[in-house]
Amino acid sequence: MNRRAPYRYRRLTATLLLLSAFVGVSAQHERTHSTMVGAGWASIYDTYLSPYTYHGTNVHLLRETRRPLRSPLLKTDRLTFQTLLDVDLSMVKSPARNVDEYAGGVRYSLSWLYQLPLRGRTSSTQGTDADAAPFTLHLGPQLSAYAGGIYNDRNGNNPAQAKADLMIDFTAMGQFRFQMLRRRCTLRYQAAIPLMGIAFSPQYGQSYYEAFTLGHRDHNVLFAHVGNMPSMRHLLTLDVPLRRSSRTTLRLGYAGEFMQSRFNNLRYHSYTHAIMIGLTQTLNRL
Amino acid sequence: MNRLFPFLLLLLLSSCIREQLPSANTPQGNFEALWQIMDEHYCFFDYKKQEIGVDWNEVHTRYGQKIADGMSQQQLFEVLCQMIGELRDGHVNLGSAFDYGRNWSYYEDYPDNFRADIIDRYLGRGTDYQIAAGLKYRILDDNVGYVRYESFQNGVGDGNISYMLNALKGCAGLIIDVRNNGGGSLEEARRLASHFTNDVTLVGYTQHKTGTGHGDFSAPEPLYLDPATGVRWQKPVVLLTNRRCFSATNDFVKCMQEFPLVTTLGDQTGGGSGMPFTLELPNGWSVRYSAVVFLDARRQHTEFGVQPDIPLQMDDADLAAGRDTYIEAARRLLQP
Repeated sequence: MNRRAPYRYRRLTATLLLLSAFVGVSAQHERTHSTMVGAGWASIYDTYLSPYTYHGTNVHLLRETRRPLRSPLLKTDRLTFQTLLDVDLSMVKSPARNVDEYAGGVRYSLSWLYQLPLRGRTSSTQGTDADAAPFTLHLGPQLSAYAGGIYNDRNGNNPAQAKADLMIDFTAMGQFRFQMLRRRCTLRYQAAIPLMGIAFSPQYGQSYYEAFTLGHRDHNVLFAHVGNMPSMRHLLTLDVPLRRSSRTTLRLGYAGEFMQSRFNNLRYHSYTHAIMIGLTQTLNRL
Repeated sequence: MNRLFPFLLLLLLSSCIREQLPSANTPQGNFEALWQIMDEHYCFFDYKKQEIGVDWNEVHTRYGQKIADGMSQQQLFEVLCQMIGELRDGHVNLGSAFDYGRNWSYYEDYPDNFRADIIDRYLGRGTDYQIAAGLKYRILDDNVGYVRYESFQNGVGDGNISYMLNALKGCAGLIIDVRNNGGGSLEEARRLASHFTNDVTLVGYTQHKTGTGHGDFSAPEPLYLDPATGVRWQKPVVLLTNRRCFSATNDFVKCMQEFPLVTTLGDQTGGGSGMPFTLELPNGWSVRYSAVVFLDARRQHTEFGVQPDIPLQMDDADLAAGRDTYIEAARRLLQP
């Protein structure tokens, strides 16, 4: 009798091991959760709906989690796994202020951040670690998915524009820890740049009636890259503990998104700037 | 990787996507914006050049001379409406707070071939006729069913149509009167048409613009109409049309002409075979224009209308006697 596990089980085990290394497995880790809300200014330009830029206000809801990735397979403790859920809604007006447009959507991002070894610093990696270095720099890939749309309340057969993309981004984050008001504060700046992926767009003069009711597709799912979708997202936050030894911190920040595309001769930008406020909690998980 | 980031940042900062159209809210800025919006988006330039000789560059030269800095909003509106009126397209409009610019020559230049008061006599009063959603119907004295559909903006479901056809099933034939129906929803038009075919039928093609050039179009995509799942009419039909059958109604007539039991009778339809989109000028005036082309099953334009199988004009003597020439001709055709 062959006592070796059947091939398919060995393959499954190997896959699970690789997957666990990818998403991270640790006996004990610190996990931070942040929830922020904010409001600010928006500039929306979509030539499918209007040749002009609409301006107005914007609200954001941002949920972030971060935890270290530790696994015997990874052989490093410099990796951090981050998720970002960003819900935004913009209410903007035409230059003549006689038309309203509503733009909104949800972006969900997964990031794998590697802490660069800086000269003269320790190798501690986690932003919530009390012994961490004052300044750390993290880089890595990000996988982000967006679904949303824009609605123009004046247009007839082209009143709305759907927006969707699935992108591989490059993200970089710098953190600086310092003492302020006898509290250990953290200043963080993170930027993400979409590199390549796929995105949805109608054809230049295509109606949604053709695309969806009649099912006439025409270059509606496109290869997106930094050339036709030159975009970036920025996040600047300051964490101030509520009490000196508190694991709950007040988070103040700025979220700036500069999303752009040139697909099928249609031009689009969505620039938003929002002042954010929220709370961050650090939890120890077994 | 850390050297890549500043490079990407620089690349992104130098690739801002901003407005390209003239944005100055001046008479000249609004004129140029309107001309360019039409130039880049309107879908019938080649056809209009061939049929009515419109040269859009010549139009720019001619109307550009009429634009002056000191002109009033009303004067500018009048000049811009005249300019887009050159296209003779009922789907091309300029919308302002004080007026709606249009060229409705597709029916204004032709006889009405329609009298609402006479149609009301055929429908009768009180409970002489029924109303199923947007459909008014009754059985005429000679056992011919008469259906009046005034607008495809009035929603009608498969259930409404099935109830109506079931109520008229004993009739020798059916008159469908869509005169003065100025259009509405293509879905409503196709839903009604789908009750008059037993087979999947090629009813036309669509194509849209793929770029700013006058000839930048997608390949024509065939349009098939599936038979309705409810009651389907199996007897002769006479469809009454006039010049005010526009847009979705023009499309409805185009579809119905493909069915063997349907005869169209009356005046040519008004056309309007482009699906309209809307954009705007710097001063906020809306610009409506034909964006998507709908061709017939032989890949021909119906922008200037569909010819009926039996052309007919209303007779003055009939009108004086309170008779509808079209309905009477249709009744004669439907007699067994």
